[in-house]
Amino acid sequence: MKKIIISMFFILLILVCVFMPKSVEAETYTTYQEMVFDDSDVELIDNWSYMTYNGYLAKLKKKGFGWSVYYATKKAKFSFVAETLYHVKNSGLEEITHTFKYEESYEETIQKSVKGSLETEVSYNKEKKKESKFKFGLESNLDFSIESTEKTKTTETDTVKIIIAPNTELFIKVQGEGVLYQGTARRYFFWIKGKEGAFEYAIITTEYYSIDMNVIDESKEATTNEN
Amino acid sequence: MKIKFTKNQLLITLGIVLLIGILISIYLVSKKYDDVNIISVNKEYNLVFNNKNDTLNIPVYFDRNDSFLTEIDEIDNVKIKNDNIELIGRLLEVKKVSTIKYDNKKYYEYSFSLSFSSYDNYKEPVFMSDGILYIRYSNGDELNLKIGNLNVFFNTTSDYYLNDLIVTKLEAVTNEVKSINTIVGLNFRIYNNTDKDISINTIKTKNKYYELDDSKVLYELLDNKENLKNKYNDYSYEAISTTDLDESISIKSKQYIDLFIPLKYLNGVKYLDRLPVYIDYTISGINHTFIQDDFKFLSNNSLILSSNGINKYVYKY
Repeated sequence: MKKIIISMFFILLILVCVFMPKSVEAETYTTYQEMVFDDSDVELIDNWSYMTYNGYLAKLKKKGFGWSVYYATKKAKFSFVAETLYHVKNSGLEEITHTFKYEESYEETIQKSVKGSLETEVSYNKEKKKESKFKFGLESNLDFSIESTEKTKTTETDTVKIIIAPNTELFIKVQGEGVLYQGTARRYFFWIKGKEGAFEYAIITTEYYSIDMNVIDESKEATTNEN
Repeated sequence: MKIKFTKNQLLITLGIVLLIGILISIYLVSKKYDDVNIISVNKEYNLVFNNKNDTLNIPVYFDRNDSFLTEIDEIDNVKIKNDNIELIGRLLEVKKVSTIKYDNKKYYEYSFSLSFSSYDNYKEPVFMSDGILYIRYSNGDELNLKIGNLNVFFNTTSDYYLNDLIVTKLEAVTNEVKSINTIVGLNFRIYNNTDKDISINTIKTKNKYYELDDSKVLYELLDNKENLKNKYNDYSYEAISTTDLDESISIKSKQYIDLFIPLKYLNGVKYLDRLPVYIDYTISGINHTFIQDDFKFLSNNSLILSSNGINKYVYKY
C-alpha cells in the first residue's frame, strides 16, 4: 500500500512538473495596434512564409562550434501606435478637473521574440528589473550596439492636471518609433546542427504622447450595457 | 587523531592567514572608496507648479548604486541656482528609475524629486538659464551639477479654478531639425465650455528660448508627417514674428476650434519634451488666463538624443 502511495505521489509530481503552466511574456511590439515599416518589404518573423523562413535558414554558414548567425534585416525603421496609456471617463453633466498620475513602465526598450527551436527567457535581476534574453548563449552573439546608450526604464511617474469635458472620455495615447533587427541562427556542436530558428528584436527609440478627448459613444454604451 | 604543528608550520600558516586577511581588507577598502562617476544632463525644464505636491524631477546618473551620494538621509539641503537666482527646494525622494549603458559603462539613473514652497514669491514664470543642482551632504561635501534651463511658474492665480476652456486634443508635431528630433509645433482642439462666446488673445509657452508663434496659426490640426514647409511659404524654425495674433480667435459657446501653432527657437534648436501652454482669453469683457498644465509630449530612450549636452563629474573620496 505504501509503495502504491509513494508511486502515485511521484506520478503526480511528474504530471505537475510537465503540465505546470509556464508564464508567457507577451512581446510588446508584436501586440501594437499598428506597426508600419519604412521599408514595406519588412515583415515580422511571425508573418514569414515557410519559403522565406527556410530561405534564410539556408543562408547560415556551417561552423564547427557555436552559433552561426545571419541577419535578414538590420535597423529597419518603423513607427507604431501602442495601447492607450491612460483612459478615464466623465459620464456626468459637469466638467471634472482631474489630476492624474501615470506611470511609464516600458520595462525594456529592447524587446525580443523567436521562432523555431530558439527560446527566450525572462528573469528578474537583483534590482527586480525584468530582463529577457535569447537562451543558449545566442544573446552574446547578436549585435545590440545600435546606439552608444541603451536605456532600460523601470518606472517614471508624472502628474498632470487636466479638465475633462462632460460626457467625454479622455485618452492619453502613445505612438512611437523604433528599429527592428531579425535573422536566423543555428548552433553547431562538432559540425552537427543543434537549435535553430529565427530571432527578432525591436528597439524602441522614441515615444510620443497625446491628449485626446472624445464624446462618449452612447450607442456603444447601450450595447455594452445590454451585454 | 591529533594533528601536531611544528613552530615553523604554525608561523607559516599564521602568516598566510594574515596575508589573505590584509589582501581582502585592501580589496574591500579600495572597492568601498572607488571614485564615483556622475553624469548630469542639460535639459529644458518647463513646469507649472499648481500645488505643493507637484515636483521637479531631475535625472542624475551614477556609475555606482551603493554610494552615500544617493542616500536621502545623507543630504542636508538642495537648491537650484544660477548666478542671479536660487530656488530652495525640499528633497522628497531620491529614486533609482533605470539603468543605462554609456561609453560601455553601466550607469544608474536616479531621479531627485524636489518640491518648492516659494509660491507667493513669484507672480510670473521664473526663468533660470544654465541652472545648477546644488546638493549639500551631511559630511560637508557638495555637488554642483549642471542641469540646463528652467522655466517654472508657481500658479497662485484665481483663474486656476475656471473651467471656461477645455483642451480636448493636444499633441506635438515633431521634426528632425539640425539632427535633433524635437517639437516644432502644437496641435490644439479648444472647447468653449461656457454659454458665452470667448475670444482668445494669445497662446504662448512663455519661454525666452522658444515660443509658440501664434501669428502663424493654422485653423486645422496638422498631421505629424506633413511637411511644415508645405504650409508656410517662408518657414524657418528660428525666425519668430514679433506680433501676436493678428486678430483674436473667437470660439462660440459649446463649440470647439482646431489650431496648429508652430514653435520657433530663438536661441538655437533644442531638444524639448515638455511644455505648458498659457491661453489669454476674454469672456464678457474680462480677461483671464487658462493654463494647460505642462505635458510630456515625447521621450527618447537615448541619453544623448534626449538632452542638450552631457556633463561628467568625478566624486573622489
